[in-house]
Amino acid sequence: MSDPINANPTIIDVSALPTRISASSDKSKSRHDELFERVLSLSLAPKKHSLNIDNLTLPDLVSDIEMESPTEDELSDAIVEESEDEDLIDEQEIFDLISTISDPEHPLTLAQLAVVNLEDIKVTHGVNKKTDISEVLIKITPTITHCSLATLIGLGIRVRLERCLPPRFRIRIFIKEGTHQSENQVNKQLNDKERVAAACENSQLLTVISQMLSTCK
Amino acid sequence: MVSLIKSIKAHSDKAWSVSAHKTVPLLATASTDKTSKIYKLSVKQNFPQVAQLEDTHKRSVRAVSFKPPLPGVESNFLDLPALASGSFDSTISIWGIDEPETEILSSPRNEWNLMAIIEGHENEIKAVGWNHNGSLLASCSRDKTVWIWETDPETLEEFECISVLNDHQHDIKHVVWHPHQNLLASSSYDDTIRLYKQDLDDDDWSCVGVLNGHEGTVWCSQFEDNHRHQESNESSNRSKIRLVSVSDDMTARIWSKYIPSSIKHKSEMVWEQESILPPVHQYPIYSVAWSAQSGKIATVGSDGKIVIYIEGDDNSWSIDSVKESAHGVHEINSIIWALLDDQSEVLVTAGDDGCVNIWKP
Repeated sequence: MSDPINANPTIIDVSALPTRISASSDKSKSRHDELFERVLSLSLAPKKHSLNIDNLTLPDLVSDIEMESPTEDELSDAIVEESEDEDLIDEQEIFDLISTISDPEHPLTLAQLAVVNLEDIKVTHGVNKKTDISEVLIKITPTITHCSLATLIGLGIRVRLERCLPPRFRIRIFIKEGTHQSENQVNKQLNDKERVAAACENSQLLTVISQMLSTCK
Repeated sequence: MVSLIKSIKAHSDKAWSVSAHKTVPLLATASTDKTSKIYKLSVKQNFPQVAQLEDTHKRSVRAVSFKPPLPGVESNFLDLPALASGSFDSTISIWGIDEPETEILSSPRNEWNLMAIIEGHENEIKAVGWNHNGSLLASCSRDKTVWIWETDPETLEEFECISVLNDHQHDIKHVVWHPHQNLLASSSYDDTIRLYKQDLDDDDWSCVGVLNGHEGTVWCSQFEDNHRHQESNESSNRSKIRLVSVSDDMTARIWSKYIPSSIKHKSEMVWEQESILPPVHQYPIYSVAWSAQSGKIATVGSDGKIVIYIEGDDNSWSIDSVKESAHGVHEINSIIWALLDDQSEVLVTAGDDGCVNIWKP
């Protein structure tokens, strides 16, 4: 692989990250364990072969390479069933779902690189869970302002959440204001459901995203 | 009030698009599961599935469109239903049926045959649309181009590309033809709508208008079909053309253009934004349908609502009715007006839940 775009990122120690994982009390532990187990089962299989991410035509979301084989079974959508565990879907829950996604460039997680931050996540619930729409709004902070991988990171977060959250959630992902030189362009792509759907049918792109999500707990 | 007549769990994944045949009561669907399905629009028969079109596209089927019947042909024998499907695999498939209409409607299953696969676009096809007599098919893609294909509408044997229009700056989301003339509109990720006509002298197609105003991706547009209205009002020698568009910016807008009855050679069409429909949607609007029968406009989108608008005097629009959670908590991708076999007009929607819902407006 070529030289990383950001060779010297600032790294946050894992123990300093906000999480509910270590703070769980004995009473709720079994429930948490159950959830983690389920969430774990949603994670993608480890990478089969490594790909050079430089070959991807980002930020166009989808490369022009034709996909000949159907999407692999492991990518079938698995959604957290409507259950009591849903009460846990707050900002911290969203953070825990996405914080352990790997950066496509560094052997570090998005939380360690402060690309995702708890205070930049906002969850809004509807009154009636069966009929009302809920929203997750996430602002991501690219490590450097010209980071060409911002779209890929955003796509990884979206794929992770679309697979884990119930369908009533509308996921909106934006680049934090002033942290990227082509904010609007990246924002538009990340929130275009059709482009995202098409990107998720691209096997090469999916392989990269699988690698990013393989570290998810 | 909008009431549900029938909900069909048509697909295991997102249902992207629906199309209804203009004269034969058939409905077609398109889905991420790479298939299309055909249903009979019959309450008495409870909307049976009569065909499944599969094993053709390698990726999502994004759009379906029935070919309009040939104008002025009395015998249905010459004019069997046909369908175009556009896919993320960058190809268009053309499907035809080999039975007379009476057979189509009486038999429990219809045999649809793959008649052609059209290649040309570089990547995902987002929409396909036939002109009023079925002699032209338009397609659009993320490759920023609109292609116009010419065919013999009776045989559908060959599709020759007669124009590639590359005026848009980005991904093109939708194409639609005027219901009675060869005027084409395309909606784009570049926030504009473009209009195209054929030059009468050199036969070349070119962009004759740009509609600026939306502040986000334009997902869909539809022309008004005021054919009946015009027949009863022939004193006017100017015909008004109107278009409604819907966008990521959560607005639905109406655009209009008066053109002289004799269209000037290569005249640039200047369109105006006539109105913005009263705001209801709280998320992007993905699809719009304009009823030829009632003149009402219906919109759907990410917020799961069906909104019906009605026009009053002085081109002022008001909300006729709103149906909340029309596909539960799921997004709605497509809406059309259609006629059932008893000639009653219904709305048909397709959602991320894979369902196709039929509504009494």
